[in-house]
Amino acid sequence: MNAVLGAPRVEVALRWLAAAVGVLLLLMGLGFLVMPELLAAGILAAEPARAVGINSLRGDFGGLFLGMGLFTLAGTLTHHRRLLSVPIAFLALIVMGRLTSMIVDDLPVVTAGALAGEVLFVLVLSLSMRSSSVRGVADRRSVSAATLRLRVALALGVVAVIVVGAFQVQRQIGLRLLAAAASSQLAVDGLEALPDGLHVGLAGTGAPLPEQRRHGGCSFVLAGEHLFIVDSGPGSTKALELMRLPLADIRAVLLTHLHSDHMGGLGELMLKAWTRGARTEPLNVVGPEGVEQVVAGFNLAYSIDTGFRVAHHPPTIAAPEGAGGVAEAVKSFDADGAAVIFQAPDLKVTAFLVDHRPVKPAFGYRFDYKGRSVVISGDTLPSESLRRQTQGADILLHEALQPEMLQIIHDAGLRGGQPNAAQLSSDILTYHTFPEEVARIARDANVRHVVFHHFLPQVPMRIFHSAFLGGTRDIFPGPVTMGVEGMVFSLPPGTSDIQMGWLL
Amino acid sequence: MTKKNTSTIAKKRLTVLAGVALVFTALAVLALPGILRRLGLHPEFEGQRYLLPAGKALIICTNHDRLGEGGDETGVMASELTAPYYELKEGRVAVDVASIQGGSIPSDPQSFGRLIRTRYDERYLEDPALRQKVENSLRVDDVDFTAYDIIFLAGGWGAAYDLGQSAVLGQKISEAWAAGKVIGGICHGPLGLLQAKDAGGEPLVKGRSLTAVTDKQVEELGISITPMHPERELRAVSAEFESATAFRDFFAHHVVVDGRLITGQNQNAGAEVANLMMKAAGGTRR
Repeated sequence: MNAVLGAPRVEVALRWLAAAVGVLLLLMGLGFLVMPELLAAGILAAEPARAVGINSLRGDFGGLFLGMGLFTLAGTLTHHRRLLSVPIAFLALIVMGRLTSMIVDDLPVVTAGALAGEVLFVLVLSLSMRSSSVRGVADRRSVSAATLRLRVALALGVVAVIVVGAFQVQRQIGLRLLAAAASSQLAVDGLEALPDGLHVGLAGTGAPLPEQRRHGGCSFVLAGEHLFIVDSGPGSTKALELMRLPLADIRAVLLTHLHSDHMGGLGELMLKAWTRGARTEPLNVVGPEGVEQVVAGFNLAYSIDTGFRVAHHPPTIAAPEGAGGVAEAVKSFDADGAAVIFQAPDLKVTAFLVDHRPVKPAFGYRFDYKGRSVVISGDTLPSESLRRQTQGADILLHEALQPEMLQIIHDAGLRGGQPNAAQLSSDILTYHTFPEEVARIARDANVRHVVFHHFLPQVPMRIFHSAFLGGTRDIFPGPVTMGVEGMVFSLPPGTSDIQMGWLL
Repeated sequence: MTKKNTSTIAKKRLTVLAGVALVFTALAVLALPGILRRLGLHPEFEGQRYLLPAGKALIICTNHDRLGEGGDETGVMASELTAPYYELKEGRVAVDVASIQGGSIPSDPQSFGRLIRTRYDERYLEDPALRQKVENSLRVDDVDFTAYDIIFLAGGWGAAYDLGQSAVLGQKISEAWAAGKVIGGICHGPLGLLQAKDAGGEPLVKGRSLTAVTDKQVEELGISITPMHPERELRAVSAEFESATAFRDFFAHHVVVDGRLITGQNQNAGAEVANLMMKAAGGTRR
């Protein structure tokens, strides 16, 4: 080993490799400093940063990467090879943080590439440091202090020039990026890459209580060729668009019940399915009795807008006959409270009655495709009909209300002189399911994977997950996921696999 | 020299022994609640739970706070109120609390002891809503029992002094029974059934299977000063009395379901009886 590392050619090669790593780190640091959102989205798959986020990305990430880059270059160019231990230490800590996140965060692994890159960097830098120490390079040739100062000043100067220059040409960079993004992204169908199978994605995981990063309730189910949207809560259409769903191809929108947090986005969804996809027939909206009134209302509210668009665009974009939606109420059920609402070869979609009293009727939906199955609970108390439909499901998407957390909010409402808020939080106790109840239902029905996708109260941060779940993981033996918008679960036919992916 | 050494060694041994004894005592004290639970005191309820959305329940407690004239403080055994209260509440049932005279309900101070108290009791101590209900309980006379789906009789030594003696309680339970409601209780609570009648005017408990505190438990705990012992009194009106036994009946656990009449032997049965009552009232598994 030492003989190989000590070979002059190897030492030089490693030095150049390490220098390349240094340049890369330096460029990333500059990138974060100049255009933090872009790098965050591209490299870290982070959410678009807000004010605090941008500030920290520029500062923290810019500083971290610039620092690592400068130390790496200093270590490779000056023969003070020990300086490499600084970036090595930071990179090792970063790898540790990533691994921690992969263990505790229960999110799709989207940063495997970054992790591999960092491990590679650590390897290159370590080997380079080792090889130079084997050869004793540092002792043999050393650079005078004056030369060193000159080089450092030079490096810092170059960095400063690049930064200032980059800020000067931000407009040009922006336009170039837009051109690249526009050609590569506009045409992309987010579902195209998914193989044949049953897929379920989360586009809205919020409840009526306001939350920064969750939209109103909305999921999509792709079964082979058939795309269904389940519920259309406020703001969720935006999430569907960001996930690049082909809205024109929607077979039907299935509403679980007629609470606003499950149908308030319907107007936007009908509009976007029409205009973005150039639909020539109105969107099918299936739901409990009353859905006719809801759809008629949205059609009426959007009719003026529809007129404007028809007047403005050619019929290839806004064909008048494709505007709005048509409602279809599910009214007849079998003795078990279930109704098959859609059937095709390999596919069966079942609506079933759940207990969200006084909201009546209220539905859950079950999708069966090529031997795989997904159940979406709708809003409900534990109910026998849900238990029947959940039997043997691969994935159960379930709502949940955490009573202990709600009690805390209730008490705070009372103390803060907001009796209405307090009353509301105790009222909703009586028509949702507790997380541990979901776990027992899923356990009894031999469900494979539980995904919570509708949260009461809000769960804005990872730190609340444990409190929200309570004893759920002790009761249900399978995986439990706290749903985040953008998640997609894929169930390939003929297997028992459940793959977690990411569309945002 | 040798003497000094010997005494040092003896001292050392003594210190070590004392240390070991201290550690063992500490461990024993710390482990005692767990040991009692293992023996059968207040077992965690792991059976099927139920919910009864939009349901209403009434928990009835004693107002009596002394064992005999000027004796030890007593009242309701806290867990016999708190376990059913929180199980019913988690079953989405609206729960009211009543007592024979109304107003403040005394709790047996022993029930909050470290070895005895349950997680339900701990929750109660932090819960202003239930404390308020217990401080200002409804008076049995003022309550329409037929407005409730579930009537639950909590026990504790105090209950031996006023539940079985109350003609009004008997009358109200008779009305609730006639209206098809679910009636039940645990420990000394079923004494409240003594004066209730079924539709034919016969004692409600006559020929019906039930359970309550055994005479053996009363004896074992050495509190026979109370005026009514559940097993003796209930057998006297021809109830089909059932019970389980343990080396101390305090640790025994038994529940009897006879149609709409659901009873539990002692403080260990609160959670299970509450859930079975929700089931009998038409509840759903949760």
